Amino acid sequence: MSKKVTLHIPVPQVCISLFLLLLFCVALRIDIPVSWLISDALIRLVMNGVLVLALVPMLKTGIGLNFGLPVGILAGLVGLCVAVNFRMTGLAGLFYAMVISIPIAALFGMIYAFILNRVKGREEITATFVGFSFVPLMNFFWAVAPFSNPSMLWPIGGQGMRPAIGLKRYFAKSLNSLGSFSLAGVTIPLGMILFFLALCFAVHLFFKTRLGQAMMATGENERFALISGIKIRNMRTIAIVMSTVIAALGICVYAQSYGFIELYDAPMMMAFPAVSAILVGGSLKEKTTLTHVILGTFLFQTIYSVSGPVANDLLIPEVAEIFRLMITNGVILAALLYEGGRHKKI
Amino acid sequence: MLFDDGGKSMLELAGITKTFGRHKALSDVSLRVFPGEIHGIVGLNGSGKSTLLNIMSGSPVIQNTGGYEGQICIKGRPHRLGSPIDSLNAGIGMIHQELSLMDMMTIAENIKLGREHVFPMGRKLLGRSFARINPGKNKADAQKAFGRIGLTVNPDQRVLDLSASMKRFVEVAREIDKEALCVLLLDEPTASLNHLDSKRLMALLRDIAEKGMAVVFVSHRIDEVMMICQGITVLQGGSVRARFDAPMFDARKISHAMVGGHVIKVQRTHAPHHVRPILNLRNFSATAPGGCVGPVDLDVMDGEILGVTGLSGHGKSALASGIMGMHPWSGTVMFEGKKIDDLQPDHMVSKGLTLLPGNRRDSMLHDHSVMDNIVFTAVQSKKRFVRGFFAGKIGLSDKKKSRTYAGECVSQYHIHCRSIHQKAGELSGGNQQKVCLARALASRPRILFVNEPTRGIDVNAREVILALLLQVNEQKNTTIMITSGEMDELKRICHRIAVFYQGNCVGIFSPETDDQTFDRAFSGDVQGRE
Amino acid sequence: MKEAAIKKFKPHMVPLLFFVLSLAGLYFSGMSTGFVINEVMTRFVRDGVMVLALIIPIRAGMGLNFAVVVGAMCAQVGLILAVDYQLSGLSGLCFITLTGVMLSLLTGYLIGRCLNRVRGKEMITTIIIGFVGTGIYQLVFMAGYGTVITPGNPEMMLSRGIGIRNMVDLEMFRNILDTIWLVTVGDVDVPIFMIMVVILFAMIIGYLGKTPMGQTFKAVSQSNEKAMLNGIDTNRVRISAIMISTVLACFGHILYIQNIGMLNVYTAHLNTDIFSCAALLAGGASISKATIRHAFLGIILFHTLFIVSPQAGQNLFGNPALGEYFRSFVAYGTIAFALMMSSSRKT
Repeated sequence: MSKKVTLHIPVPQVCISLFLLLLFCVALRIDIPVSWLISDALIRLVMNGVLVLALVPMLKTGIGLNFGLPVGILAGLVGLCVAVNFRMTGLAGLFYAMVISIPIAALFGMIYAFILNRVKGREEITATFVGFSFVPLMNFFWAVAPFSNPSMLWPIGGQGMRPAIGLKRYFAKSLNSLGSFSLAGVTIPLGMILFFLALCFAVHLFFKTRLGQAMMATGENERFALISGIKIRNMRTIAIVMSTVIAALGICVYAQSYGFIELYDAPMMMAFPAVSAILVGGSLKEKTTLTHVILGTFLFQTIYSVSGPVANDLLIPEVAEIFRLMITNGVILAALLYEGGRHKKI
Repeated sequence: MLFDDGGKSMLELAGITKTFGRHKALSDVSLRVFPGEIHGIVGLNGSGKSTLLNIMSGSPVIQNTGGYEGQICIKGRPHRLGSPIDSLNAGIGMIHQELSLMDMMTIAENIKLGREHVFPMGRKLLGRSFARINPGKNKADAQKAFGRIGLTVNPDQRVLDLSASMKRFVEVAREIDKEALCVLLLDEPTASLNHLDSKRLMALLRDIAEKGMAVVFVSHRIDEVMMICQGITVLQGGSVRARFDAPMFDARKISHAMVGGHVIKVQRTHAPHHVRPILNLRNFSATAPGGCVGPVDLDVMDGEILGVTGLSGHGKSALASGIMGMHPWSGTVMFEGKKIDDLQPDHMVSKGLTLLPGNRRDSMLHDHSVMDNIVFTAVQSKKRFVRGFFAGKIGLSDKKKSRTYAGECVSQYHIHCRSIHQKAGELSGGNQQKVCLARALASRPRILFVNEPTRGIDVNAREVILALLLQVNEQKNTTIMITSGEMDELKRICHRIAVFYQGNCVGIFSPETDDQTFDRAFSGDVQGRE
Repeated sequence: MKEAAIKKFKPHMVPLLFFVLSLAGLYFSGMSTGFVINEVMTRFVRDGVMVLALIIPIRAGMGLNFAVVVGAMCAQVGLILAVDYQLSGLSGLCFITLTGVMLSLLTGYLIGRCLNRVRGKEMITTIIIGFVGTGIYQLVFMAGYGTVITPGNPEMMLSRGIGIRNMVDLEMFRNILDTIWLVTVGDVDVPIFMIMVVILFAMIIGYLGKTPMGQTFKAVSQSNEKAMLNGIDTNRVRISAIMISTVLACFGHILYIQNIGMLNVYTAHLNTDIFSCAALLAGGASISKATIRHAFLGIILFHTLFIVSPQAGQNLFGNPALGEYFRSFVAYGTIAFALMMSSSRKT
């Protein structure tokens, strides 16, 4: 019995939180304003949270961690580029980008699902490489895409997209500033947070429906789902398309907050921080909840934002980046090993 | 006892006990086997035979579930068998029911696996692992081992291309090639063999025993065991029920000890109401990972309980899952007189055919509540307990209706649980099976396929399950097809019993048929077919 | 009949595709055949051993070992230490090899232990192990040197005194081995000694298949459970496979760096895993079957395509970047395709 009780203490989360506390203390010592830290953490939570949320449908359906997140991100980037091409501005521009990216993401998702449905049991590694190979494939597109807005194209020659497109004149921070207010020096982006929570709630509600329940059953016990008359393949396809669409929305939110659209090889490694974040939140395969998403993103991204200035002040600036990469991958490795060890015992 | 003359025992087990979670698989089993003896262990499914063998062969299953208690002595020396390697070093050889050969390797490679001859030069320089294998010597060894069986083979042949019986002999050859071997364990070695090969194997076992080895022979074919064994131990419910010595074998006493006295016995009373077939199979065959079935012709009558039985690996379990469309299949399936072209699980479930698999891990959501489990299939296939939106496409489950229904089930089927919100995985095996049954019935099936409904369930819960099946059949007129190896149970509740041998239905018998006829049918020998 | 033909053709599909693409690329790039052969030869001796290092884990049923980057990093640690202690020439090479091998045995053991916990997910784990290893490695040389570790050779340090420079010149090791028995045939330079070294490593791998160790690899890859029943300690076998692979990767990377003659401290090892895996798969290997023939054929095909595609992109579309993208797509896509193809076996 005593064993069962200890299991309920989320050791990794406690460790991460303590570590975060330590970073905060160091940050205070070197006079980094707390209000800035909190504002930054809140913005980063939503900025990355949607991408983390994108992992949920596939996890719940038992397909595993979506290391192929770049597939959805690329669809979102296309939507963003279309919106910029037509010089859409403000919240409407962001909305327009999202609407455009949804069908593209659905299409990409179908292709992606076709591939992943062939490789049952080896989805994660295949997803990684599908994501990796989608990036250079889309590089072709960026290099020859028929966009006409000169602020997106190379200044010389006018052919091919720039690696980074500034959104300042279009819809940068349009969601960040929606309903945002200051409280004791802390900026609270209310609209942005509400948007994120609404999206989370929608996903939550979806998994309460008959279809969502069927997907969940597929994840928890595939043979059971099969004998209950559920079309496993369809459920998996729906989950993968959903994941891809949410990832596309995620990059739209991310880009407007970041202020730039980053093309070419930028999306390559974007899956890893998202995966890491959900794992930090305590997600265990199909037993993933939205608490894991929100808690994980918050802890992970706050470490990201605090570690930068701290490393700058104490050590060498490059170390912050290395350190982040180590946390990202270290968390994933630890989760894989923990998961594997757990299986062995049963 | 025959050998109890102060002679040293080769194998001695004392107080072997093994528990899987709450379930006690073996309790206080003791056994002595002497050099030159063939000792038989018999018992029904679930009596602990395989667990005992797994302990002796150091199977990882035992280690991963907490090891065993008790002591094992070989040649008087105690051994703790924690891995197959321990057993190998102790001189125990094991032939499993499932073949443990490497299909892509040759006969010689299989026989010498882990014990290859290497060139001495390389051994000196690089150690055994990195020395070059001497293939000629290995092949010679393989041929020598086969010579002892009385067969000649091409040692370069791949195991993949061999017949089932030949594969079995390769395993025997592998074991007798081991110099240190002093105890040979065999788990149902004749299950996949025909009559002639079985005889040959048994003659071989006698030879091996005469050379001073101890042989432990596990089977549920009583005639075979009586033929070659000098001693027989009967296991029932995980403990030693009786022992018999060589000349005083009595098939009836042995089978009585195997079956034992049950507490209460459910018995079917009503005859079927209808004689109209509900499901017709013509030339139907299906390929499942565990065994193939068919081509088979079979009619299932409306409102009957049909038993499907046979030895394991003879296709009985592939039949139901095959009809549900879970495996590649061919032939014709007619349901209520209409041909079904497309066997898909979702299709069949919506038509009213429901499968309750034997492995309870597959038939429920362990992390969900009793209620969620009970209504699940009905929600998915029949849209019961659903409040629909958008023309019913998107529906939220109707909590109120679900609660009422689950509550009814709990009281009607005597499910012991704290509440309908308790996690189904926390219940005991018998109650889990009741939940599964309630779930299957909630979708109001026309035909219910039940696989091994009482496997791993204690005696009392068994009777409740059987009573439930009878009740469902009689009150709701649901046609039930039970696949099981438990003859005793099938005889009590079925209207007809179909026996499968090597994938074919060799006969359909009335439950009153005597045991000898069934035993013959199990080995493909059919007379007195109804 | 037709099915059998398709089945027979299937393993040759990928190499054939690469062959056709390379040929087309060669035609459109307008490069001289001699130049391409020369380049391919260089790549063969540079990357050959690294590709061979992947074979053993595949034979042991563990799939593609992306953690060969760890072996590569071990080699780099050896090199940096040699530069730090200002060793040069053959003795320096011996020191590098010794340090590298010791380190790779240790890291190989640790990786093996990790992989035994994650059965069925070995490949994704090896990728992540590669990333984590890179992080530790970069941290040590970026932040550890000059703070915790005192450098012996101040020339290789960054001006701020902490961290090693990006580029370390390996003048004393450059082409030490490449120039032995260098024969020029027409306009093609043939480094006979180096080719023989690569072939020697191939022979070692071939020999391993004929030992009891090789038999256990084969058995474990077919069925872990059955191998266990046959008294094989599968955990140990898998650890050995990864250790051998890591050591071979370390050798491979030493050959690679001495051929290049410069060490890009923080990035030289990156992508060695991807390119070697893609090369092996281009030769017709799958994630469950790989032979020396696949490795050699793969290196030649993959690198031919690699060499010609930027120029072909320039000539065809007027944009060399397109060739670059094509290259990366081919590298990642080959692996994705191989994963997609060989998984149907499992279920």
